Amino acid sequence: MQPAITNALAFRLATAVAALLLLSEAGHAQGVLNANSAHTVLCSIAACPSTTPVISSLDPASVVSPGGKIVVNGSNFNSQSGQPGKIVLKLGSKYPVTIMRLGSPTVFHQPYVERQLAVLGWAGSHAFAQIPADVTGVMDGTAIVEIWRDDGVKSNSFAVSFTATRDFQILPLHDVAMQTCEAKADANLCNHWSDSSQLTIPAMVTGVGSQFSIFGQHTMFIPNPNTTQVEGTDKYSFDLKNGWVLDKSHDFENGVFPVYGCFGSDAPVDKDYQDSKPIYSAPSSSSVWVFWKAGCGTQYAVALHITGPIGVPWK
Amino acid sequence: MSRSRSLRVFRRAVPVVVAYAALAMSQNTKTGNPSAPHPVAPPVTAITPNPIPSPASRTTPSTKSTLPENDVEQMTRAQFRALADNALVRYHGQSLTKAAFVKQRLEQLQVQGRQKTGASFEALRNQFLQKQEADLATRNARAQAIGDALNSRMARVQSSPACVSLLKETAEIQRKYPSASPAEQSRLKQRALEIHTELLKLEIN
Repeated sequence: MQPAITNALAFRLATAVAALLLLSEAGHAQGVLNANSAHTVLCSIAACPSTTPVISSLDPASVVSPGGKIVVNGSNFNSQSGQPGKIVLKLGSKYPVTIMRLGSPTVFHQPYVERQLAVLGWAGSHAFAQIPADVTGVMDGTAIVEIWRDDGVKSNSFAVSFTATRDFQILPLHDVAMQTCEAKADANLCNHWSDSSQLTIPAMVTGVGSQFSIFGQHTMFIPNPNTTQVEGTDKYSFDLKNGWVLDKSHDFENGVFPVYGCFGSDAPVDKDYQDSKPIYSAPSSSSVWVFWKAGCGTQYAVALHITGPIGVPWK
Repeated sequence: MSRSRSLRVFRRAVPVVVAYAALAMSQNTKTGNPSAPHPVAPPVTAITPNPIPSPASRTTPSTKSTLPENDVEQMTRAQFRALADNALVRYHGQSLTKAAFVKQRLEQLQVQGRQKTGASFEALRNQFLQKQEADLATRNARAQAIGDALNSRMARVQSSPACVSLLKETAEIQRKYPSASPAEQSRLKQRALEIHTELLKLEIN
């Protein structure tokens, strides 16, 4: 009999505890009951069907960039606890992907990045969140958004188009190739090539300081301030990778900074980006032609302004 | 480059030219060898570099004369090239060797270049980054408006008569359920499930 008494006692005790808990919860719920906590209460009584969160769309106003705010639409985002879950953004691939380009393979491997977004609003059918601003080293491309519900159940993987924050740099001189230097003056220099040991690339150049992409000099030994004695076209080229392009915000006026020995016979230096047509396209590679004249001597520096995903190499 | 850009370049260059001319007239120079090539050969195509004085011509005995005909401004390029490095030439009334004159000519432009430094890139970079930030803020404002609208809609749904009624019934079920008979509990369970579904529909719609 002893075990039977014990079992009955235990059953009554458990029932009493359960009742107390339910009453306690009811009292709490009656005070602050809302749609979320109502689901908790209802599903503690009824056997609610298990559901999986489903992302159906991203609001078109969403900004899928570092620091951007997104609105995710779908269903079953709330667990029975009624607590908000997480929104996770997955960038890149867990498995290294070599970006192939015509000609030569690029060796940059897109790293895998998984970041949790700051939740700004949460309901059963939508979530509103902000992407961390410090996402760097990631190229533009497809990313994955997932809802991780409070009870641990994950949604489908929803593909979105990610745009990286842009950086703005001057392409270094050693990343520009000299194609042709028209050595028509008495002493000529084009980047790292010169026909005179006395011509060197200066550390500082008028207008651009210490950062420039192209430097040329054509000097006449016998200056003629009135007449252009020689003229030519120097040609350079660059090839940017991983989403970097020539900046077009100033219509490719990246800055030719000439120094003329004699203005009347040396000016002007001009330039042309051969692959920047149509005019508003931003080339990732191009020839840069620099047209010069020399009556006395001309020096020019060009700072090629480039933009691309921050933290990603351009070569 | 546009015409206005060219004009800007011209204007910028004028003071440089003036300074250069003043410097050119006042400087004396030293010997140099303009023909010594750098180690890297250019991939030059269809280019005809000027003939560079041959080693033989550079060893030609010097012309010590400082006669007016040695004024470099009166010489042709060919005549100048024919002179030995230590030949004396006159330039703006000053006498100096050819090599010194050449060195002076080569150095002058680079001196000009060192006189100014530009801070324009940093300004442009800041401008670029600020514009990017402003664009992000503008686009975020639109997303924020959508988010706010959804949050407001949820608040409206939760305070709607239909939702309030369902929440009230939920509280009632919760209160009754512990002491209800088994039959009543079964009915309450069924109703709880219905309310759960209705609330979900309200949220979605």
